[in-house]
Amino acid sequence: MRHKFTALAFLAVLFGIFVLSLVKAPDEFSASERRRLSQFPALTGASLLDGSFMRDFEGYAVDQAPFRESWRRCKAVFDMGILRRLDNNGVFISDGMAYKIDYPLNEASVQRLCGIINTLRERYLEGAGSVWYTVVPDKNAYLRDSGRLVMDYAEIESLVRDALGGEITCIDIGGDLSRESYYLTDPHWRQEELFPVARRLAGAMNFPPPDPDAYREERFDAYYGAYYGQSALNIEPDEMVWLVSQATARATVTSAEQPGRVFPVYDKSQLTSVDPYSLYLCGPAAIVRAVRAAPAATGQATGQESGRRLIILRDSFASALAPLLMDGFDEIVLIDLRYVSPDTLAGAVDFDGADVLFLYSAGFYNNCESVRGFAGSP
Amino acid sequence: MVFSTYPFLFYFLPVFLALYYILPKKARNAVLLLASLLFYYIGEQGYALLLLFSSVLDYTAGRIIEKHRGSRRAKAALFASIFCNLLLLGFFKYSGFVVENLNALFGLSIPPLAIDLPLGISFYTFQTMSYTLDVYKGNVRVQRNLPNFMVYVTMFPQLVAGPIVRYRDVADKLDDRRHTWEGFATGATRFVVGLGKKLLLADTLGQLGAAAQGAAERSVLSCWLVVVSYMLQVYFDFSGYSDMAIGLGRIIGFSFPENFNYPFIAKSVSEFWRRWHISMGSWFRDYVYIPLGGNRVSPLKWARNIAVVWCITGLWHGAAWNFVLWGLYFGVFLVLEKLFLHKFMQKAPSALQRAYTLVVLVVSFVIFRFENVADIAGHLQGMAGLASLPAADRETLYYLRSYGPVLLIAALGATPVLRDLVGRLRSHRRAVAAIDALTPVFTVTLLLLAAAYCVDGSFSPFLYFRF
Repeated sequence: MRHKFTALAFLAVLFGIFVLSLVKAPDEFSASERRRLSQFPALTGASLLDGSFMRDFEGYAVDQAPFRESWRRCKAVFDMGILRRLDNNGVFISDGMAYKIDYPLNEASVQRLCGIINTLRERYLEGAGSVWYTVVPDKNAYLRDSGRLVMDYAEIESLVRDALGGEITCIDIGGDLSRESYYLTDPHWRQEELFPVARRLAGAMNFPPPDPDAYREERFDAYYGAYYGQSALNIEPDEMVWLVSQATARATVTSAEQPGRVFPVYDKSQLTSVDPYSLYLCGPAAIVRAVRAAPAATGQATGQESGRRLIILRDSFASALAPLLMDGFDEIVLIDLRYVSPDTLAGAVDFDGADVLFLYSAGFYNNCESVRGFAGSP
Repeated sequence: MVFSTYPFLFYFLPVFLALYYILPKKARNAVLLLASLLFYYIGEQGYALLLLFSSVLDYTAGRIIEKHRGSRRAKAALFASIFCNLLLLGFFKYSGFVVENLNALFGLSIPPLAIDLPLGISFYTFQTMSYTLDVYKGNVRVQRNLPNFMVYVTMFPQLVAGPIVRYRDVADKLDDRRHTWEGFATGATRFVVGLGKKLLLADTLGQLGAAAQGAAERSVLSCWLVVVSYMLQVYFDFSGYSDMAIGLGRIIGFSFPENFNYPFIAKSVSEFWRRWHISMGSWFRDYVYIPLGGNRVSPLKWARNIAVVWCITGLWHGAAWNFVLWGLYFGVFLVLEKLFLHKFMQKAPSALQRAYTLVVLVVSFVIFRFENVADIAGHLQGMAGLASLPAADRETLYYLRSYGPVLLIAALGATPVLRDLVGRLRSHRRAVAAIDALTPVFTVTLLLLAAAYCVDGSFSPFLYFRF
């Protein structure tokens, strides 16, 4: 009897999952993992013969597994709860916040990005206005749990200071941030927590600091950050907040990759995309221009024009910060060297007279493989 | 195709089992053969022809041997079978190694052949060679039914990573086998245990080994962690696969030989090899060592026999010099044990005997893991504290804390403690009832957990596939 029961239970699981896998309609997208899911591969003679059909089928079967999210959560809970692993896929939760291990310090990567910045300064910034840099601390730097594997972030800042400090002015924003400045499920900072940083930049760069009272908050309550899917753990999604002012409401945004199209500063259609953080200033894009416009009713100058332009060479952290700087500049240009070669910038961006800010996160300095270098350089 | 993947577990296996058990008994071998060929084709495509060729070749050789028993034709058929199998194995597995060494020795620049190793070739060529040898010696009756013989060669549960099933182990069951609920249930539990060993332990230990190996700073601790996690990973990976193969075999009425018997509790190297990859060890013993004369020859010839067998054993594991060194390393210890060490060690306490064996094994796994002699020496120096390394580093300590419980579970699982405990409990009637009630719960829970790991994890082939 017991053998029959074991055999039938085994078969029930095999056939149950098999049948569910067959009848379940395929999903196109995983919100928690922020990626498109594999679809049934094309069945052709060639794909059968070269084995690609079965390779693709394996990806499809796993991606479209019924209760996929529950499986992944079950594995994560078993790993961390029973096997007492300290992280799952490199992601761990501490005080309700998800962190990702970024270890060890990759000095070569830091030096490479600093080298690109220095070359860029030498080639393009001769006629520019003032030039600053700031290193956005990783949220791991504010981790209170001492038993974790955390990189020496002070060492990264020290390396950057040694490489850039002689020529470019540093703006230290480390003291203006805290653990609460970051999303629970994502590595990025929260825009609504960035007024201290914006004030610090305003003081250093000499422009009027943003007035929090001039902004109203808009919200999206189901923001699944990048670490949410990677951790597969049962944590609440974040609430995403964006700050709207007269300046951000009137500003127009263009992206070099989509010529002719004009975007708002906050593109709400992105909230349902793979990466809702793309809400801010077109998200990951090569060259983005945000221009502070005159009031629509008059089309006349307001008298608030600063006559100043700001060029930010940046990673994704700048997208949420830049809207808070719009009171100080008529135009802000965001350049992401992951998507545009620095060799082509001369014809695409006018650096003359513009203020320039290099804004990269510590994690970006440590993992800058995706940044395009100058031709002939590493 | 790999057992520990979602498509195998939840597409291939249920469809196979449904067809196997629903169709008439007469059709079961046909279902098994077709499923096995599909299983192999999915992973290897064109190399499935090689498998068919090998089957037909050895089937034909067996028939010729039977028909012309005692004549030169029988000997020629045996020779042709052995030659062709070794040629296939040599070409696909060792040609790159030979070319590389010829180039290095004579300064040549022969381009290496761009060929992939057909999955399981080391296993199925050994199986078919054992068949023709056994038929020639008259140890087994010839198989006259080609499809039945092909079932033996291609049977998917043990096709790609063993155990090396000899024809005599399954001959009767190819023609007629019993299918019982007990066989199915114990097979299913064994299969799931193997799946758990692979997905929950071996793969996790593999991550630990990779993390410790990739640590920014080397330390004595990181060197030890690399090797210990690798030892346990290889054990759980390979014994897990063997469990799955044996379990699947039982589900369909076969009884494959055991391949592992808690090797890390061995008190000597010779005992270790009676507990580790048993089917391979006994194959080399029966088809190489004993035909060479075994130990019933002069001491010099005996040393030669040991050297030959362990050199081949090393090469069987991989076409690289570290594997040859690994095999010979064991050969040396086996000779020493036979000469005096075993007698000497037997007087020592059991714990000391086990410690001696484990130390020998730890060094052997360093040789097994690192291809180049400088790396092997460097790692051993690091472990011995002779490489000016710190005792521990922060990163490795983190990995040790994070993977510590898995390491402990694995270390415990590599001993028969749990098995013995269950055995002792079975002497109590109430405990038997509880164990019987919990077995299906355990089987299903572990299967569901394995499914969770399949869905979350990326592709991870079995380590022994490369052999």
